[in-house]
Amino acid sequence: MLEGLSLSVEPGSVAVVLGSSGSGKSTLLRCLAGLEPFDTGRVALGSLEVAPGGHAALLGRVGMVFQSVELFPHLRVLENCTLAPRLHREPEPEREARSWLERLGLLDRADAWPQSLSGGERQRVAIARALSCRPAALLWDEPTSALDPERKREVAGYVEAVRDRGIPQVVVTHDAELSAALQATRYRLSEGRLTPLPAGKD
Amino acid sequence: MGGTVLVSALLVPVALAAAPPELRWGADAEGGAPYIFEQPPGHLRGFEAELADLLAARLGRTARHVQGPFAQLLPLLERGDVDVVINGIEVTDDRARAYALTRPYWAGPERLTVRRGDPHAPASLADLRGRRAGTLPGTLAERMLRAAGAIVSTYDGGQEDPYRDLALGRTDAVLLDAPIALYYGDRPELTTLPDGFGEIRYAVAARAGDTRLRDELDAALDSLVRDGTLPELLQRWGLWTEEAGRVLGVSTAPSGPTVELDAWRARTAGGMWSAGVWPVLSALGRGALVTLLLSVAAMALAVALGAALALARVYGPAPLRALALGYVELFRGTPLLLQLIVVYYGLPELGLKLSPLVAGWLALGLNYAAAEAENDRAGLLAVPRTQMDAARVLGLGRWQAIRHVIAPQAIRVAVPPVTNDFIALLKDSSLVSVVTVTELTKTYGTLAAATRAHLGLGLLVGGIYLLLGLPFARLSRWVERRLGEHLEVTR
Repeated sequence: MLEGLSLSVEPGSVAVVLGSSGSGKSTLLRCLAGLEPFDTGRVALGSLEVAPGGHAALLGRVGMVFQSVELFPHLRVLENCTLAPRLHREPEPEREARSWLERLGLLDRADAWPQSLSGGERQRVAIARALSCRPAALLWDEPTSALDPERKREVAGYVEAVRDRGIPQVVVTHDAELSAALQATRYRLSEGRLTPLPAGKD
Repeated sequence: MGGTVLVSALLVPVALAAAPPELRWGADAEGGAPYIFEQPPGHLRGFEAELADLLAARLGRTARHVQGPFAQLLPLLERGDVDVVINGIEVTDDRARAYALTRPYWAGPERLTVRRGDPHAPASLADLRGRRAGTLPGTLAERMLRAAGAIVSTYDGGQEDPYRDLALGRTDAVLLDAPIALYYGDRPELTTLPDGFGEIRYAVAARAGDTRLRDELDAALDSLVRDGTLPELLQRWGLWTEEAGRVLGVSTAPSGPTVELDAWRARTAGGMWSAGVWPVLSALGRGALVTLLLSVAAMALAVALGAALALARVYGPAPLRALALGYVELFRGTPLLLQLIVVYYGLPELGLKLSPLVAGWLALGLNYAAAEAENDRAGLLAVPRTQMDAARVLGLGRWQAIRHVIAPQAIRVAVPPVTNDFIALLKDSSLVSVVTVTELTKTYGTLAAATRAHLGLGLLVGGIYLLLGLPFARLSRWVERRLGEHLEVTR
């Protein structure tokens, strides 16, 4: 699927991967998140080095905002954000979650069911949920695909908010507008190969 | 102090063991009068019930009745659940080879019953060629009817049914043992021909190797004949016949009144409440309780095992998946009745002998586990796979993800079909009567055989089943609403 591929993102910087569907985008993200095994190569995250077969070590360390959002429908907004930290016995899961919900303008929705939220709100909950786990990196899978045009413009703002926390990010998208709105290193993924794009060009 | 308590606790079973052993005798109380029936409910009556008590007393033992369906009585004997069967067991050459049979305690003819005023009513066995005739299965009467060229209908549901169908015109005649014709053939629409056909003899059956018990029983029967107890007993039930006099070696017929036959006739004229309202309701209450407890316990087993099977099928490694699939196919693809009989009568051959209630619970639970596994699997598959991915990326382990993310959503999907299955199980639990458990349907059969009020009791028992199921249907709707709370909101 993917080969001869190298991608490096520094803390506080953003890599945008542009590619059409079928280019291997989601395989790349699943490998980086620890959901998919890889045969050769390595994934390095800070001081953690993951060799083939050890991909599961990445789970819980790399946050991901899914294209389909994937909130847990049977849990309220705050519970969605605190479930994992609570199970990991992290200190003050609720405070951390509330602080992210507040930053994303969702504090008044903390007790709402996901079903009652708008598409944009759901995506922000997914961001808050990922960040409440204090990930070492954050992946975005087509973050604008399910949003209406004016909401799309807000996504760049969320990416910037995360950048402020010094978390490296990879944004996979085919949305040129989003790509242009971000200060990022850009790549094109095509038939499993990743090519850097010259700076200042989409 | 502690030592004393311990010693006395140990002494109790020793004292019990020293008491005279029981004589466990098998008979089907649903078969009915005059053999064995319940009147009032919970109290055994019948000439064989009396005979069992008399025989046990002569042996210095106490009689204990074991309830089993008529067709399963001899298997129960071989399984060792009863010491003897006393329930109109006809003496045949085959049976005399397979079991240790005593001398006969009754003999008499088969009797032919026809519709009163039917101009074409058969008057002899020869008249039955090509005609429809009813009887009970596996009896001498059935063999005689087949030999006569009749079209034979056999009835498993008790002694009432052949006569009911005859009265309704579904058959032209009924040939059955004289005692049955006497007790169930005396309907106003029917008449029984005065001349009998052939001769049948009833004997007590013990296990083939148990000739010592057989000899003791023969001696006891001898003494019961000599002191006039047995002839007097048969006379009270209206069962004295020339043939009985001959096989028992009694030349002078007993002369007392037929009190038990008269009492039966008076009672059956009184309908379903003839034994009193309370005894009938309390018997049905006991049956309903057995049905309910058995069903709840079996469903608990089915739900737990079904969940494990479903998880194995959806998330397990390949060998476990195959094993779970095999289990589901096996238990879903074979009849529950067969599974029940194998668990109760078959497993003892492998050295595993289960009590009736445990066997019934296990068979129902194992069978319904296959259905619950499919319900749970449908629930698990209804949750998008990406939910698992989302949970795993957040750092949840597989089990944590299943427990906190997948299962709560899957259960909501599975609750309605699981409730449906519970109500089906409540009804299927009536099958456990084949392994001697007296639950609600068996209680109905026994009451109906004793009062002949099939319709009234049937409606009553149907109502009880409905009442038993209703609370669970309500509970299910409540659970579904609780688990689906998050779906009821709108933006």
